[in-house]
Amino acid sequence: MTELLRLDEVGKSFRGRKVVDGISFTLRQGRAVGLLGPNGAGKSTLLKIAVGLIAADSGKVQLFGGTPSWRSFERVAFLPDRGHFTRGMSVSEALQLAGRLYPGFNPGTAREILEDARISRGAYVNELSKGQEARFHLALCLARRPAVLVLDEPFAGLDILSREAMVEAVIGAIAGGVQSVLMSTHDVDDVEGLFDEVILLRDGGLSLWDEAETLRARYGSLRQMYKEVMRG
Amino acid sequence: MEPIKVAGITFRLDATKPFYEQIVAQVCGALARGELGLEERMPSVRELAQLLKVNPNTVMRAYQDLERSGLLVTYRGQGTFTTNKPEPVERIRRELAHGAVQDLVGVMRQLGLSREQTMTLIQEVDWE
Repeated sequence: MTELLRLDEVGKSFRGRKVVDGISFTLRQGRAVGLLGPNGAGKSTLLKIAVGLIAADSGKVQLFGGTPSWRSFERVAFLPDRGHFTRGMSVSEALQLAGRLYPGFNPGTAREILEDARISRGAYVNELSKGQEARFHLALCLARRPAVLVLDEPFAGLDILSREAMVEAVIGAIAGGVQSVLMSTHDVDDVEGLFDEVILLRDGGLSLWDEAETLRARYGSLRQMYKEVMRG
Repeated sequence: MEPIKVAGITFRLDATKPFYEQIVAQVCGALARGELGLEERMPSVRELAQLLKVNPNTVMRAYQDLERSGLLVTYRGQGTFTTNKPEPVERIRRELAHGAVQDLVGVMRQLGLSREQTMTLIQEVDWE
C-alpha cells in the first residue's frame, strides 16, 4: 500500500519541554488512523507537524513522498481544534472565500452537509450552535475532496447527536473517496468502529500502534485498551 | 451499542469483539432464521458503515467474506444481494444448529448430566 504520510523520529520542544518525542509512523492509502491520548499528550502538535503547519526540531516528515509544501496543501484538508479562518463571517461569505482559497472546492458537497445540519447560508458562523459550527468546518474540509483528511479533536465539546453526525460524515467521506484519515481524539467512545489503525500517544511518545481489530481482540475494546495502557 | 435494524437484519455490535466478525455472524444469523430472505438487496457498504458507525473497510471485508461463503452476491453497478440459492443458507442454518447443540452439550456436562438424561430432557421439553 502507498504511504501518503510518513514521520521518522519526529521531535518538537516548546520552551525546553519535549512535546513530541521521537515519533515514527506512516499513514497508508485507504486507512483511517486514530491518534488517541489524553489532553497534553502532544496530539495537536503532532498533527500540525504532519500537515506542515509547524516545523519539527528533529526527524523527518514526508507527505506524498516529499516535504510538506504549498503543493501538498492542495491535497490535505486539516480541521484544527481551534482558530478557524471563518471568524466574523457569514456562512455564505465563508463558502465564497473557501471557493477562492481552495482549488477544486466543490460547493455541492458543502451544501449537502449544510442542509443536513440545517445551517442557513445567511447565518453568522459564530452564531451557529457548537454542533453546527463543527459540522460546517468539516463540510469546508470535505468539499475540498482531499486525498488526506486530518482532524484534530473533531468531537470535543459536542452533544451526542452532533458527534454521531460528524462520525457519519467522516465515514461517508471515506466511502466517497477521501483516501486516508488521520484523526486525534481523547474520547474513544464514539469512534470504536471508525479506525483501521490506532496510535496511542503518551507524554509526547508513541506507546502503541496497531490494527484496531487486533487491539479489540487483545484488550476487549479500544476503551479498555486505552484505560489499561494509560494506567500501566 | 444500541441495536440497528436494516433490511431484515438487526445488528447489535459489541465493542469488545472484532466488528467484522460480528457483522458476518449477524448477517448469517438473519439468513439462517429467515429474517433475511433470498435475493434481497443488502445496504451498500457506505450505508451500512454509516448506520453502524464503522469504517467502510470493515463492512467491505465482511461482505467479501460473505461472498466467499456464497451467501452474498455483488452485481456490478447494481449492488449486493443475498444469494438466490437455498443451499448455502441451509448449510449456515445447520452450522448454527450444530453449534447450539454443542453449547447445550457443554452446559449439560458441566451440570453433570449424562447423554441419556439429556436426551430424556429434550424429549420431555415443550417445543411450543
